[in-house]
Parts: sequence; structure tokens; C-alpha cells
Amino acid sequence: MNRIISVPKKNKIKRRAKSERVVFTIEFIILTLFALTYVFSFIWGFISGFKTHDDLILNPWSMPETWHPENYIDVFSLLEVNGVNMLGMIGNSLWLVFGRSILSVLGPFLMAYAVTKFVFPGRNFLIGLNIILMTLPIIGAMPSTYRLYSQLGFINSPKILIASFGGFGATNLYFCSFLRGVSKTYSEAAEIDGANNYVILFKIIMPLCKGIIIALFITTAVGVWNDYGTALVYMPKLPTLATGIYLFSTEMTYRARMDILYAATMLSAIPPLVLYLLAHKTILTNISLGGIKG
Amino acid sequence: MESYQVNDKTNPQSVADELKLGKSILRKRKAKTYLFILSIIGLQLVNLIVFYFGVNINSILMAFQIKQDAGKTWIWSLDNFANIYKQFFVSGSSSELWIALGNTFKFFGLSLVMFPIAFSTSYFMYKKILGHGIFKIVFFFPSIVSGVVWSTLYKEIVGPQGPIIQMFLNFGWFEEPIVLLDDIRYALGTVMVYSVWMGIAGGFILYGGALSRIPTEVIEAGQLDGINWFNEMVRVIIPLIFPTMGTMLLLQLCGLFTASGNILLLTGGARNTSTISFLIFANVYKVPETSNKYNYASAVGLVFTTLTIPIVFIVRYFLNKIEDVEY
Amino acid sequence: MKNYFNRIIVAFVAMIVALGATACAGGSGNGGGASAGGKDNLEIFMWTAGYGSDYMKAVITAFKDKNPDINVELKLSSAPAFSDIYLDPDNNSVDLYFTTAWGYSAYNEYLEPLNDIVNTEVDGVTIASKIGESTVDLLTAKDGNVYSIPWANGVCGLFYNATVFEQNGYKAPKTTRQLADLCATMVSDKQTPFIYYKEYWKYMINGWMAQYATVANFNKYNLGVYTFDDGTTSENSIDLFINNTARDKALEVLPSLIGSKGYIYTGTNTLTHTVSQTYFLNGRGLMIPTGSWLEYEMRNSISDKTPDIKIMKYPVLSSVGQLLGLNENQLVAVVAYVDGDATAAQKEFVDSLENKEAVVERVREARNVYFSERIGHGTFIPKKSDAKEAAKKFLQFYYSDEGLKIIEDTCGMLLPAKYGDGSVRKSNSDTTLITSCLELQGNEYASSVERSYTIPLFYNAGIENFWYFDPIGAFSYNANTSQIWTYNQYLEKEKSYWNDNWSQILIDAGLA
Repeated sequence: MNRIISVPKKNKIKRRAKSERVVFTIEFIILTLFALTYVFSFIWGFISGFKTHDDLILNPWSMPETWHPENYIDVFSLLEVNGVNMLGMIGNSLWLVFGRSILSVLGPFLMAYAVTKFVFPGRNFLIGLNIILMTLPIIGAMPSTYRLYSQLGFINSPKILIASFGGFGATNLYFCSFLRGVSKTYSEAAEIDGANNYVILFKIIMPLCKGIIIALFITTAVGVWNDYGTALVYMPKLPTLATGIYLFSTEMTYRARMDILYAATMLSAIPPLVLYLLAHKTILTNISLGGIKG
Repeated sequence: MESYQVNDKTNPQSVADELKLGKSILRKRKAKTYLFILSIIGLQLVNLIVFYFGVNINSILMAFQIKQDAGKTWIWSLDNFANIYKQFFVSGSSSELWIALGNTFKFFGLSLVMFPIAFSTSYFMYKKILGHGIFKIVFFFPSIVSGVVWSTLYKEIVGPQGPIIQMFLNFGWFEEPIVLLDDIRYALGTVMVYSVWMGIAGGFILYGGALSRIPTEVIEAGQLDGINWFNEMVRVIIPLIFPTMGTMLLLQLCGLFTASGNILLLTGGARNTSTISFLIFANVYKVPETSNKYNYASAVGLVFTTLTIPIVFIVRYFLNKIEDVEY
Repeated sequence: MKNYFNRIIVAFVAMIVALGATACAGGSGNGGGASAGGKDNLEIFMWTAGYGSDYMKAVITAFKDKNPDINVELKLSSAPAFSDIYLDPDNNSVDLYFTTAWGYSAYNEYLEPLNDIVNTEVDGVTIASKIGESTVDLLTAKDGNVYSIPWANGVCGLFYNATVFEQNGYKAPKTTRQLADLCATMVSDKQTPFIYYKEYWKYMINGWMAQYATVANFNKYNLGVYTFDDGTTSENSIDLFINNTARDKALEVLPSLIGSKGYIYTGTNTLTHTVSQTYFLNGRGLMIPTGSWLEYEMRNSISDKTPDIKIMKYPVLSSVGQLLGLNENQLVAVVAYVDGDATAAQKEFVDSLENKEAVVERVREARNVYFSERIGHGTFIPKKSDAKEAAKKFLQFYYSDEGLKIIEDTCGMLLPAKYGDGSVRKSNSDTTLITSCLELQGNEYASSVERSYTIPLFYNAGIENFWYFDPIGAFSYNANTSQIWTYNQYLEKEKSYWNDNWSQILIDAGLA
């Protein structure tokens, strides 16, 4: 029973109250059950990728009658959208993920730096504007977005990344709350040494914010990796992996290869999973909305 | 700790600067700073004007237009709003919009219920419950694996051959297998359970960071005073992360009419499971651009945007009040 | 931690360079049109639907042999694409589409009229007559042009598990009432009559509607015209949806087929079409409304254990009998007469009919109706294409006897057009399923029913069916009985829906 609660390091001697132990045990059981459903689902999906279509449909809950590891290889040739195969889709996903994540983290970072560390006309307006922009749920803007992108030549082009370089949104809020907590001492010292604003920003402040920048970069990257909508609408000729899988799943009705769908989905989950396993500490310690003031 | 600014007039350093430097030098320095600021935020502002205002103003205008001549021309009109009015006040409670609105609020209510659940998950992680290291990794799965897989699996689990229905049959609760997602009594609830299943995991990330930043001295001080764990949670931890909860509530409200859950993947909006955002989606998805449905969807969007704004501001006002009291 | 990230980032950058650089250009980059060597460059987009792409490759090879000056490039996709035609016409390099595009008529201005193709003579007849004049009529837009012609064909209707039918001595029903009786027999034999994908019931409902309204009148529905009993008509009016007796009579059948316990496979309402077909091929239901693609699409699921599958002739709507003043037994007699398997008594009855010719002709048409899924698979030439002539040449080849023969031999799908001599098949190496479809389609009295969406009332207002509420969801048996609507409740709800929304539908369609 005692093992259930691993006591915070600093208070090793302190024993927990009985009531606390009961609550922790109950919570442990609940969390374990939830965790098991996720792990089980993941394994189920992975195993399903080894079945035949019929086996998967008729006996979803049993182990494969025969194992078909070749599904995980066939998927590279069977998944083809608009003349682009799976490797091509991965390539498209990669440049989109990197381009969009870098730009959509950098833009708000710079904006947050400007509004938290400087006083200039319009500063308060920008802070308020961010809240308003986040609050305004404008819906149904897709057709006009499309027309605009089309006029700018963004359709089917990596130029679409330009649109990611915004300065607002939740990312801005994260950075604002983080930057408010960054002490001025470093930058002031640098200023006295004669460093200009750019040096201070890129050599002093940015390294200080490395943790949160990486955390936001990774969460954004995972989001972009799984986002099928953007490529579906704006870059039909450059489908990403998520788009390919989405289209494959909707058009699966004409293929009758659910096994391939599972294989593709499980493969697509590997990069974000690996990234998260490597970086979850950075993500969890750096991301919180609002955070503690100060 | 308050954030403080470089050129704050009350800052003693600035005052000292002013004394030391001549006014012209100061002006030059100011101009240089402004130039720097412009260089780092200029592009974002252009981006905002082009990709946000440009797009959304057009969307608002569309709400006041209707298509004519099989979609080739359009005229200004309030007909889209007239239709919304008609759906609300003439067609009665069985109209698409009422059902969707009701469901939207049910989902919102559910997200409120999820607040304490997400908090408690985060809390136990913070308290390093046994296995927290593994939980932290596993609970991120729902965010990384495609919804296509989760929804397919979920459909199997709650399906007529799945373990849940089989269990109910064994208990004698149902005479014969039923399809929860295809039954008007259970469809919405089944979709909501899916949201909980997927949502529990994400919640802990939101508070994890806030909790980890609680100064250890605060906790230790409490422990030295001998307060029990419950009081520690209620009197120390919750007040400290209250601003985070407030922000979350606000974001939840903002997303009230835009978040659509997984309706498309689970029921496709059938069996009275539609929400406002799904309704808008369904009016645009696979519909030719010449159709007035785009304009109607824009009008629905505009109406609900307008309705949300005051609610959000009122909530914000009260949240700010509470924060002021706490700090 | 620091080193981790450096390593990850280096690894990813390396991957981007390796993959991204090559894939970035993926799919685009083909200029299209005449290249430097004077060779025409024809880029074909093909949606690899249930029929696969092997046959198209074979057609292209044969076409290239005949036209060495045309360079053909085939681009395959597991998802249909059409939007490039109107969303990004200037950068679209595709010259010829084989895809599916519901509501394409909204974008006719971006498409090349195919009138000259339709009127071209190959093998002694025009392509229009190969495709079928009535189908071409359905595809003709208001401006008199045809912008799309079908590239595939599916014969749709009620398929059944012939193996079990034979074992249990079940007979293919002649009328809808017989179909309902057959279901009752199956249930008492502990068999499940129906497994289905909800959407596909539209094949049956539309077919029954055509039986009741006559095929000619049904085809007018597709153009927004409703014909009343007295012969007067209304266009783009609400009559099509609230006064449509044919629709009401067709829907009336459903409760007797899917409305009772044991008649449908539990959970079938939520199945996708391939899953339902997988279940059907594995014996979880004895009848399924679907199309002739069943076998080819499910080729991964076909094994030695797969039962024989056949399509049945459309059971004649029993209310057609009432329309003709016949009771059920009399109708059965007439159907048997047109089927050619009437008993002596039945023959005698038919011969004794005063208006024999009219009745027999009417019932014969009804009995030989089938739903054809052709218009949904359309071929298009974008107006901006710079290889239009090459594209047209290819289409002419596609619909020539030579092209059709290649399709028949390599794929086995039912052909989108007839041969020059009017036949629908040249070889006879077909499976039981295809053979039964060919019997239905190749019958001299056969008339196909199709749905087209060339008018704004359909494509702009998003009206896909002549009904709004999902009739299968409404009528199918569910453990929760309160969920089933009675037939009358359904009609009432339909009526109030259309009445409430008609003004908005006209606005959506741009007809207000």
C-alpha cells in the first residue's frame, strides 16, 4: 500500500495520512484503467495492421488468423493520392511541419517579446487585440481564404507557409506569461556592454526561452503532422501523410483494405510518438496556460 | 512579481538616463527602439491584416448576400438571417438549429465537468502518484494518434458485438444487441463519452506546467504548519492555479461554437447529434461554391459570433475580479 | 536534454533534405500541352475506384500504339479530384479526368463541351447511341451542351446469396409483397434477410419510383419536372417533394422489409459499404442492395468459401397493380407472364385482360427496370486544357469497340457504353454475378434508371434524393420501438420539412 504513494523527494520521512492513501489508491486505479484503454487501443490498431481485411472486419477482437507483416510495406505503394505515394507524402508533411511550426512559434514569440519588454504606441492595443482575436470565433471563412490564397499563388505551393507567420493566438499568450517572468538583469547587463537590440533578443533572451520554444515547437509540430485539413483544401497536389490517410480512409469504401488503413495510421503515429517520448519533460514543464504570475 | 518595462517613465533607471543624456540622443534612441520593434512585429501585423481581417471581412459580407441566377450573381439581402430567425422562432424546437444549439450547450456543459477531472489528474501526477512517469507518456497518446483510429476502435467497443453491449446483454439490461451510436436515445451520450475518454488525457497537460511552477517553499511552509493534504489542495494549490483555470474556461467559451468534437467520424451528425459548428461544416462540405449555403453558413457563424462576444466579456470581467481578490 | 534536441533536429533536417526536396514537386511540375518535340502531352487523372486502374493502363497502351504522336501520362489517385478544375484552373495541368464529381454542373463554365465527342460516329454508330440517348439527355445542361459522359457502369439492385437461396428453396420474388413474404419465411428459418449499407437503398427506392411513375416520367424528375396524373407538369416546384405519389408508394414498401425484428442484421445501419459487403459475402445476411462492382471491389474477400451471388430483377411494386386495377395475385400473374414463366392459369388470366397490351407493357417496363450507376462516374476535359484534341481523341478510342473490348477483358466491369452492334458483352467468361447483371442489363426490354444533378435545384441546394429524412433510419427495426416512424408520420415530417424550407431551398439554389 505504501508503495502507491511515492513521496516527494524533499519529504522522504513524512508518511501520508490514511485518507490520502485511500484517495491515491482509487485514483491510481482509475488512471491505470484509462491508461490501459489507450495502450490497448494502440496495440489493437497495430495488430489490426497485420490482419487481412476480412479477418479485421469479421473478427475485430481476435488475434490475426495469419500474420501479414507485408501490409506495413505494401502501404508504401498502395497509398497513392494525386500521383504522390507515401514517401512523397512524408516529404510534404516534413516541410510543412517544420516550416509551419518554426514560423508559427517564432512570430508570436517576437510579438510577445515586443509587447512585454517595450513600451511603444499601440502596445496595449496589441495585447487587447490578441484577446479579442482569440475570443472571436469567426466561422465559415474557408471560401474567402481560398480565394485569397489563390490570388497570392499559395495554392499547391510552399508559399502557403507565409500565412503561418502570425503574431497572435494562444502561443502569444504562453510567451507573454513566460517572458513576464524573465528577469531583466541579463539583458540590462548586455545593454551596458553595448549589445544592440538584436543581439540581446537572439543571444540572450532566446536561449533563456529555449525550453518553452522547444515545447511549443513540438506541440505545434505534432498538431501540424496530424492536421489533414490544410493540405486537403489548399495543397491537393502536395498531400501530406495525414491528408493521404484521411482520404484513404474516406475512400476506403472503394478499396476494401482496412488492414492497409491501419498499417498506414500506425506508421504515421510513430514520428510524433518518438518525438514526444524524447521531449515530454520539456513539454510538460514548460507549457501551462496563464501560469503563475510572476 | 510584476513584469516591468524598459522605458517605463516611473522607472528610476529611465529617469537617470534622462538626466545623463541629451534630449536629442534620447529621441534618437527611441526611434531606434521603435525601428527595432517594427522590424520584429511588422510582418506579423501585415499577416494579420491580410489573412485575418481580409478574409473575415469578406466572410461577414457574405452573410448579407444571397446568390441568384443559379449562383452566377448575388445581391445584398437579409434572407439568410430571416431563415435563421424562422428556424428559431417559427419552425420550433425540432428545427436543425435548435437541436444543434442544445447539443452545443450539452458539450459545453460536459467540458465544464471535465475541468475538475482534468485538474485532479494533473494534481495526482504532480503529487507523483505511483506510475506517474508512465501515465505522463501514455496520456499523450490521444493527441498523437489519428482520430480515425480512435473513432474506429471506439465504434467497435460500443458496437453490437463489442464488450460493453455483450456485458449489458449478460446482465439482462437489453433484450437484444443495440447500436448505441444509431439509437436516438443513446447516440449523443455515446459521442459525449468518447469526448471524455479522449479528453481526460489531454487535461493534465494544461495544468501540469502550472502545478510544476508552484514554488516549493509555499508547499513546504504549509506542510510545516501541519495542514493535511486536503487542505493543502483546496487552500494552497487550487488558489495558486486558479488563473490557469480561468483562462481555460475563457478559451472553452471562445471555442463554444467552433469546436465540433468527433461527430463527423462517429455519427456524421445523424440521430440528433449535430452541433452548431457541425451544422456549418455540413453546409459547406461537398457543396458547390455557387450554392447559397456558403452564405447561410456565414450568417449562422456571424450570429453565434455576435452572441458569444458579450458572454465572453462578462466572464472575463468576473474572472478578473476573482483574480484580484485572490492576489 | 540539449543534445537530444540538437540530434533530433539534425536528423529531421537530414530527412527533409532527403525526402522533402524530391516530394515538394510531387504531382505538380508537369507543364502539360505540346512539348518541344512537337509531341502532344496528354495528362490523364484517374480515380482508382472499385474498378482498379489496370484496364486504363491497357487502354492507354493500345491508344499509344495508334497515336504515337501523343504522349500519355496517367496520374492515379485513391481519392477523386475535381476541384482543381475551378479552384485553380490556370495551374491545372490535367487534360482529362476520370473521376466522380457530384454537382459538377455548377462549374460547367470551366469545362469543355463534349458535344462533338457524343456526336462522333465510331463503329458505325454515334457515341451517344452507344451510351444511350436517354442518358445523354439526362446529361445535357440547360445550355444544350454535354459536359460529362460516364466512364464506368454499375448495374445496381438487390443482390442475393444464390447458394443459400438454392439450399432453402427460396424463389426470387416477383412483387414487393412477395419480397416481404420471403423475408418472413427467412426469419422463420432463422436466417437474416437483409444486410446493407443504408445509402444504397436509394437504388431500390428510385427503381420502385420509376416503376410507379414510368421511366420516362422518372427521368423528368431528374430535370426538376413533376408530371401529375392528368398529364400537367410543374418545374422546379415543391410538387416533386410533397405531391410525389411515386416516391410515397416506393417508400411505403420499406417498413414491410426492414421494420420488424430479425429482418435486418443488427447494427447494419452504421456499417460502411465495404464492411456491409464483407459481412454479406460471409453470409451474415441473404440480400443486399448494392451494385455490380461488389465482386471486383471485394476481390480481397473472395475465396472458395464465398457463396454464389446474383442480382434479382426488381420486384414489381405491388401498388403498381392497384394502379392498373389488379389485385396482388393478378399482378403476380402478369409479372410471371412478362418473365415467361407463367402457369397456364396465369396466361389465361392475362389473355382475358381487356387492356392486355397496355397492362403487359406497363408491367414489363416495371419488371425490367434497373438502377444504373453511370452518371456518377464522369469524365471531364477542363476548358483550360491545352491538349483538348488529344483528350477527345482518347475518349473516342475509349468508347470505340476496340477500347470497350480492352476494358471488358482486363477489368470485367460492366461497360459504360454498348458495342457498335448494340451488345453489352463480347466474351462469356463472366462470373455468376456479372452474368446475372448482364441478363438484367442486356435484356431487350431493359430500361435503366439513373440520377443526374444537372439542375441548380439539386446541385446548389444540395438535394441528392427526392426525400429529406433518411427513410432507412426511420423505418428500420431498432430495439427502441419508439424510434421507428410509421409510414404516415414519415410523410407528415417530410411534408412539413419541405414546406418549411422551400423558400430557403430556392434561395440556396439561386432560383429565388
